[in-house]
Amino acid sequence: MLTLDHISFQAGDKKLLQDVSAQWHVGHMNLIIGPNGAGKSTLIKCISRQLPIHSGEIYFNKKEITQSSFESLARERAVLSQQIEVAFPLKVWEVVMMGRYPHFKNFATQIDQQICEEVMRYFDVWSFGERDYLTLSGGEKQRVQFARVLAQLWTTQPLSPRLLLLDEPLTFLDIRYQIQFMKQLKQLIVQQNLVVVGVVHDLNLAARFADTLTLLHEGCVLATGLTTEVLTRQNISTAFQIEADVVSQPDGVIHLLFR
Amino acid sequence: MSDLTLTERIFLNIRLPRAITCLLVGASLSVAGVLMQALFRNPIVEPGLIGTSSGAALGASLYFVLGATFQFHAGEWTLPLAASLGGALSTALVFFLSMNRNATGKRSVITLLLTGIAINALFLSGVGLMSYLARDPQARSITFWNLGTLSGSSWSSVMIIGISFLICFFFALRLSKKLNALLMGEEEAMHLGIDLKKLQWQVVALNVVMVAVATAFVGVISFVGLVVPHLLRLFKGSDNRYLLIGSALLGGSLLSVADLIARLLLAPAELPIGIVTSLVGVPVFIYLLRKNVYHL
Repeated sequence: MLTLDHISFQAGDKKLLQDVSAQWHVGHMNLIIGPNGAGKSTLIKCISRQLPIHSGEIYFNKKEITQSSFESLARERAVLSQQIEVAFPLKVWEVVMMGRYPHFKNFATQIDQQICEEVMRYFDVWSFGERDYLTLSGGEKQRVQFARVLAQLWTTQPLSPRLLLLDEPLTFLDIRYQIQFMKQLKQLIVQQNLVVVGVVHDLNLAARFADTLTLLHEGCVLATGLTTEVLTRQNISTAFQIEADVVSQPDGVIHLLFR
Repeated sequence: MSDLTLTERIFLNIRLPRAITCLLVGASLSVAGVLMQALFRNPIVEPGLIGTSSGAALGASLYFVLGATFQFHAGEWTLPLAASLGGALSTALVFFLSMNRNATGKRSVITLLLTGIAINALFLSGVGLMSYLARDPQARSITFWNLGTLSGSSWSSVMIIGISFLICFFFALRLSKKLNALLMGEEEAMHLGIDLKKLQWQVVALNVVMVAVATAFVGVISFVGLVVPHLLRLFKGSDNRYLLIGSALLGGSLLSVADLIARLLLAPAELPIGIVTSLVGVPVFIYLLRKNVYHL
């Protein structure tokens, strides 16, 4: 379980996050939505310890995250961002193997190699493992990064929960890959005992895949809870200043139609 | 020892230490090049970029000019000492000037790079001032030193460069995993559990020791640290463990070939080795750029 206890962050005089609290559980896809500048990425950066929060506390597995070293944190928490470029030519499998770096000292063990193969097959990048990452298309690169991040969290015997943070990872993918990735992730959440907290831009995509939604607005939580509780006409109009019709489909999934 | 013929003695006391010094210097500069390019994630970076070799050059120039003016000479160690001190001090200067205290307390490598370029320019004009002030023989010494020469090699230089190289190389290999992660960017490296501040410190320190010590004994040799890592990447990619080992071997051998050319081309006179490395290195480098292996 990931618990945010009244956290705030400011850059200079500007308060980017104010008194944000949340509880996110294992096995759930917890998505964060909100307009530009609402503090979504800042929140992810605070949870990943890239930015130091000014007040409040963040607990993962009942432990305050600043209590662990970066190294031990990396064994139970991974972050997937938008498009990642590498500086020099690297083979695809070399990139995926980086996900195992927190787990071995100097040389990859057989288990590390096994895990790499498993995740590469899972994300369908095994066939081009020997190719140069720099020559891949945007969609292929992002799939390799999915594999790399999952390799970091993968275990053969899931014991304690692990945390996956997503910082708008779907931005540069076409709709087919967006949906494919969300489906794969949903499977893995249960199978691998993950807490997923992610920022997603597309509200309809969020509505379809989220177990819980959190709507940020001007650094504060405007609404949080089930999709139906958060995606109301009123909330969308307050946060995005746009009118939307909320359509409930037969399977219970909400769909937004923007005017 | 007295049984040895003249040829044998020349081989043992002049040729052999020179050959080994050459291997060690080439290896040091190339390994430093790999470290710097990995830290800056940038293919145009060379080991001298953060001020080490220009500082060493200024230290050496000061020694040539002041030594002649005040008539001091504390033995064969004065020049290497002045040069390595200059190199270490200038790098420290670059390192501390580039520390910018923003909210996150993070050091941007771009600031480090630009500070390095500025300090390099400053120190090289200092070298220029010294050669302007110097009388003829000292000015010549400064010029030669800035082009590099291995003719001063001895068993003691072999010992010192050898020890510093081996220690640094051992620590560099231990950093190779972290340097690989850095290829994806600083943020991703952090997410993989790498303490960036510490890594920057370690890389800069290793670079200073290797470059300052090598430069102190043989002067400024350009292009080796820039080109050797690139050549290796062409063959087998950018895994830093492979690059570090490969560049130690390739750098040493290439510099030996360069030294051979420097000695034979105008024999019995000797060409400064820095001229040979530039003459060979520049075309190779431009060829690499035109092949666009990095998809720039």
